[in-house]
Amino acid sequence: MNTPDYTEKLMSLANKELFGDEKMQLEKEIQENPALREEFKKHLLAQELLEAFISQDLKKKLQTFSDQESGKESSVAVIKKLNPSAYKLAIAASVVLVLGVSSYLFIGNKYSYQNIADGYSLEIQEVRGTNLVAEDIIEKASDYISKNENAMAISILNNISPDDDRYFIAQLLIGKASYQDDLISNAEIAFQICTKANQEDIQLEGQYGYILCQLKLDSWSDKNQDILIKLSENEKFKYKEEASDLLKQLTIARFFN
Amino acid sequence: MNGSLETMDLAAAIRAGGTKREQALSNLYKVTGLFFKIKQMVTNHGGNEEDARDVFHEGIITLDRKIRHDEYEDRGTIESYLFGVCRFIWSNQQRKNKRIDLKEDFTSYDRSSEENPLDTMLNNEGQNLVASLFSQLGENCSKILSLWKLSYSMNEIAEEMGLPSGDNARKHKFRCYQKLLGLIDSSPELAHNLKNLGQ
Repeated sequence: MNTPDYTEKLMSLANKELFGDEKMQLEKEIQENPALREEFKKHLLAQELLEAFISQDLKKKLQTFSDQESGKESSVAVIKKLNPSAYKLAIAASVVLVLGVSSYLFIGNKYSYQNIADGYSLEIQEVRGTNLVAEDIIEKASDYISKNENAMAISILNNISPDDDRYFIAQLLIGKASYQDDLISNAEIAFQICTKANQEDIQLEGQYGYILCQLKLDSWSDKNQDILIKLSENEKFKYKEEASDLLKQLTIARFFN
Repeated sequence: MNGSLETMDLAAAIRAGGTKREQALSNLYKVTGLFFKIKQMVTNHGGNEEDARDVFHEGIITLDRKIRHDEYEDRGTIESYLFGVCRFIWSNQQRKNKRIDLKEDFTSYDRSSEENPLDTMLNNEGQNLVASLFSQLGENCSKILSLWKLSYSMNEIAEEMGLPSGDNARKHKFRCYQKLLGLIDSSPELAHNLKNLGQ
């Protein structure tokens, strides 16, 4: 039983590499032979140990990713280190640039993306659902949001798991509550999740919320512009008019940004 | 990295093993906002950023294992699945720490992994045991066996390890595997695990 041939077969069975008749035959032998059964347990443990080793190894790699993320040097630090004279020149250029931009800002830039976004709001609606537990949470959260108690709303909405059919509605409310509290990055993530919802209305509202977050974050792109154009033309989108109006504002704003 | 990952592509890459798996896991790690969302969930339930980082890492490890073992159900996006796994890990940890009284239905993520002997091995004591065992096994043997377990072909293992051929890699793998079985035989702690296995 401890022959290399048996060891190889048991090893393959434990690693799920044995199929068909050969597998059935060996499984039958294991069932009928207690000594072989004990031997096979050892192979199963070897597989579990290998899994544990792989997990430890992956953990180390993830830690490296994490360290890399937190240890990223800023571009300024890199310039300073690589080329000190370029750094000094960059400082001087920045001062000139800041003075120029400040004078422009002091006279008030009504075309800044953030200012434009301020003119648009995300309506909070009470949502009714079919799932009792999630529905209670959503109604309670809607109530909190209407009273501007957004942190409370977000806290309870986070209890609705991704497996729940009300998950995307909860994310939409989290997005709206976060946006209302000026937690734009949080809102952006929640709206981004909503864009993957199956229900079209949630998907569209998610896209609109995401667009407004991008403006607030001053991060505009042609892709965002395309999404906004589609929203402004979509008859099913309930904020179509607002989207269309926002699009016009942005077209003007592009000349100033 | 922005946006959602293609679930099928990512799961297929992890299943394929090798460098594809590494790339897929690295991409998953960098999905914009994913860690932030997990951090939000953990901090809203009594944890801090460090806890969130640990939960995120454990979540990726679990996801990797579930995909490789064909226990992953492709029902939604991989991000939402990972989020569910992380919620489960955190609620489970909270329950163990008895820091807050959580509702039983905190998450609907399946709990079958609770009975996995691997989880027992991944606690602190178990981690030390695994680390000590594989250090006795040696770096090369540990690497060959883990590459095999990660579905690398024998030719890929040969290339990775600087061996002349796939056949040669197969012989090395077998010798290393026998060495691992020998170490299991000589470890009293593992004998205890052996008793619980398959019951």
